[in-house]
Amino acid sequence: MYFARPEILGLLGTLPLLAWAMARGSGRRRRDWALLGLGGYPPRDGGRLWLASLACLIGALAQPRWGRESQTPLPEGHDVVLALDVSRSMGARDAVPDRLGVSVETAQSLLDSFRTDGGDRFAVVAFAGRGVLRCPLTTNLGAVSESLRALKPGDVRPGGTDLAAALDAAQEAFDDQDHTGGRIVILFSDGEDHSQRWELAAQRQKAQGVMVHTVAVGDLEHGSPVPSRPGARADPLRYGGSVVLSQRNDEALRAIAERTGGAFIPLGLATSDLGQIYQKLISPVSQFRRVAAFPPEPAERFSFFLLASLVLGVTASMPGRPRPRRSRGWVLGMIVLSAIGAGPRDDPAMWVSEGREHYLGGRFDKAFDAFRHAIKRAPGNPIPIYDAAAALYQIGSYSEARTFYLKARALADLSLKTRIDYALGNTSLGLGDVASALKHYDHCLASTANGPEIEEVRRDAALNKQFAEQQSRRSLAPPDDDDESARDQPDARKPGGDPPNSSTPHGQDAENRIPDGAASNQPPSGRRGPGGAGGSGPAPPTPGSPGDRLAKALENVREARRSRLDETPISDNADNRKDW
Amino acid sequence: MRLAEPAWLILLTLVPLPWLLGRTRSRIAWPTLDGFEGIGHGRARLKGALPAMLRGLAMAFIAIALARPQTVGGRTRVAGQGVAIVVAIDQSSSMNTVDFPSAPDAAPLSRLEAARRTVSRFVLGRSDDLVGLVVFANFPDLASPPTLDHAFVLDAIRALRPARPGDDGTNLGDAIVWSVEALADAKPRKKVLILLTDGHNSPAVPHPTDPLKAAAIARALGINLHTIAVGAEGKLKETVEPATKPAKEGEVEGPDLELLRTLAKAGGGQSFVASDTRALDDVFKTIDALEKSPVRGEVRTRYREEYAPWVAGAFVMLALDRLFSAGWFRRLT
Repeated sequence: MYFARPEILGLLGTLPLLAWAMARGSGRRRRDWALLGLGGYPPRDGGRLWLASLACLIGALAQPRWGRESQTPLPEGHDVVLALDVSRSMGARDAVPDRLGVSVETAQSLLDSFRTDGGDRFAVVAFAGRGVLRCPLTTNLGAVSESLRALKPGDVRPGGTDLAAALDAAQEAFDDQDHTGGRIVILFSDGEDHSQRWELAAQRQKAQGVMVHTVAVGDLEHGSPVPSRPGARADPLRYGGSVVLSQRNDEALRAIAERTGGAFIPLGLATSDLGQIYQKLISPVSQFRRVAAFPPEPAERFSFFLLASLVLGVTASMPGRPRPRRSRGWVLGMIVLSAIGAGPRDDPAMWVSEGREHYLGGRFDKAFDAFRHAIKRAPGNPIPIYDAAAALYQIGSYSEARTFYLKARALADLSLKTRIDYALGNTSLGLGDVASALKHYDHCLASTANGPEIEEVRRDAALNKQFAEQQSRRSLAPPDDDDESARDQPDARKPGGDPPNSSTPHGQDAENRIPDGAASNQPPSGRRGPGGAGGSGPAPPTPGSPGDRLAKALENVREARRSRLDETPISDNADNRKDW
Repeated sequence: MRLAEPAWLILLTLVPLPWLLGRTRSRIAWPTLDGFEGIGHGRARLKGALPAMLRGLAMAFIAIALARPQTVGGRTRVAGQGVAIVVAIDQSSSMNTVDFPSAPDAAPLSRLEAARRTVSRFVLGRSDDLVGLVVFANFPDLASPPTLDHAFVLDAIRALRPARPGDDGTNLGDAIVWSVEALADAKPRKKVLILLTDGHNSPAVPHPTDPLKAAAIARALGINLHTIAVGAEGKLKETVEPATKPAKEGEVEGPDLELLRTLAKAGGGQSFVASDTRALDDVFKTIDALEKSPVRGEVRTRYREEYAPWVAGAFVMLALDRLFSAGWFRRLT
């Protein structure tokens, strides 16, 4: 479980204040009760229950979540593409705030009126001189309305208005599942088509069984100037020396709607609620089943908290009766109970020393068990965790060892941290994760703890780091069958390390050193020197860190992408192109 | 504004409860009220009823909040423990080949459709991981950076189209590099790259990256590379011509399984074949074994929950009620 708004939980701080006020109030009640000469105590007023109820309300406000809503297949519905004209003429301010603003608002009203639990999907296409898919077909209305709000006049290049391109892009937006109907395009535009090739596109839509509704925005009577750039005080756009006046043109829009069986909606200057349109025109269109499902969203669980709060509240509302004075027997009971509960306790130190004995004896799994017991009894102490990690390391489960080391590191002081960094480096190396091994060695080397023992650890770390660097350089084809050598490498580096000893963090440094007599006792540099037992990789070594190599490769890819053919050849050459 | 679970509104019947219960409370018998002035008149009576009113209102607010008022669209914060995963999908034209066996008695699927389903299933199965999407043919494209907003990733997958003729090809090395870059910025410590392809490495750019080198870079940066091959070995011949839809006969090549195996090995991962339903589960298992880091992100939701003001209202009512009941409107029973 987690809270989406954990900061709200800070409100829990008000509860003690409230509790204080309530305690004062009930103190006064009791006093007044006694003043009236009544025996016993006044009836309960459910104060504690109300407090619990309030706490539940705060929990609900913080938006608790766990799990995900189960994934349900999409019910039957429509696929709707909202195609919005974003040519510069849509920036004309004959409508308020501008034509595009009116279209977006209207489109959103349409979203609101869609059958809310239905399987309707939406896509957004923005078009000017060409059509661009801005939001793929989705049930996620949030994504749709977000991409609607992000539309700006003039942000699709090339400019101009090409209704045919819009229709084709809308067609693209429908997925390639089999359809028998239920596909709808809603086209918002001011209708000034500069390319005049919409007839074929409309025919294609009709052939595919797509219904196109068209919505005309803008003033039909008067032309209005088109801002040359976004901003309130932009100069009007000029064309051939004179100011461009853009005027709504219904002709093409009306014809497209007619030919595809859709409706033409002259919206004009004001936004209007398309709810009615939905009721009349879209809802009756046949729906169909698609191979898709609602994506599982994180499940909101605040209802549980609210219910708990309500139940507590109702219980607290139950009127109480005056209570007779009663004995405080339960206090005595608690004392007795706690005395029983506090029986003999075992000492974490005992487990630690037992674990170390096992460890020295090479019985690492038993040692790990003992350390685990110690951790259970002293969870805040990093030393048993560190010891347990060392035992795990010896067993060979490096990833678990790493987890334990990381846990211990979070609790450790400076000098222990240095040792842990060193051990982490070795563990990462064991895991074959050279990059993080290097990072850990670096941490270790950079530590500011001092003391002769720490010096020694740092020396070892430097040695191992060198080895790791060699390893990373030569492991272009990473060592699959090298695992073995990588694995005993870190153990190998220090013969005769001190055995883990009990009381202090000093002397903990031995954890990664295996006792004398292990097979591989040479320093890593000797073992994996140039020309030594090689990796399996046939790939030639590349100089430089992985980051550098990535940057270099990326540069090549970017270079290649630059030479990529553009999607549509733009004929922006002519100055007299109508660009609005 | 809509109510997602309007049935809860039935709890509105609880509203008079505090008042009704207040009437049944025990009283103190007192011989005469002559000593008290103003009892039983307007203001005092109101004073007596106010706490019950506050509680009743609070209950009404809670009932409304339980009915889950929502508005369309919004963002909400999510958190979890996971790893970062980028899936690189091949969109070269050979993915149009219809040779993927679906249900026993149904027509075979195109490889792209199979890939879409495989990856969708994959995304749905990794609810707590950051998932990103790279599509590639000759050039790689980042369709979605690693995100917790899986609905968006799923829609991006559904919007996958075969590459345009000018972009066709299979450039594995560059795709890996591009995905690695997307992963490099991701927060979680453990990162996974999944390469899903049906082809041989056949780049058509001046300086293509050697896939093996790219895999080594991924590995060196702590990224595990798994590969999934789609499509049967190169013997199948039926493709669909997008415009006219007749089946076209021709030689189609299958995935270069050997290369994919080597890549996965070099990238510290495993290679799978998608026709094998167990493959995904195996990928899941290997990812589950990785160390999880806390991930946070924003998710676009179908609906925004609007219950908060109601709950806040209920909280204020109840807190006021408690304060009043402990102070001015204190009473004995």
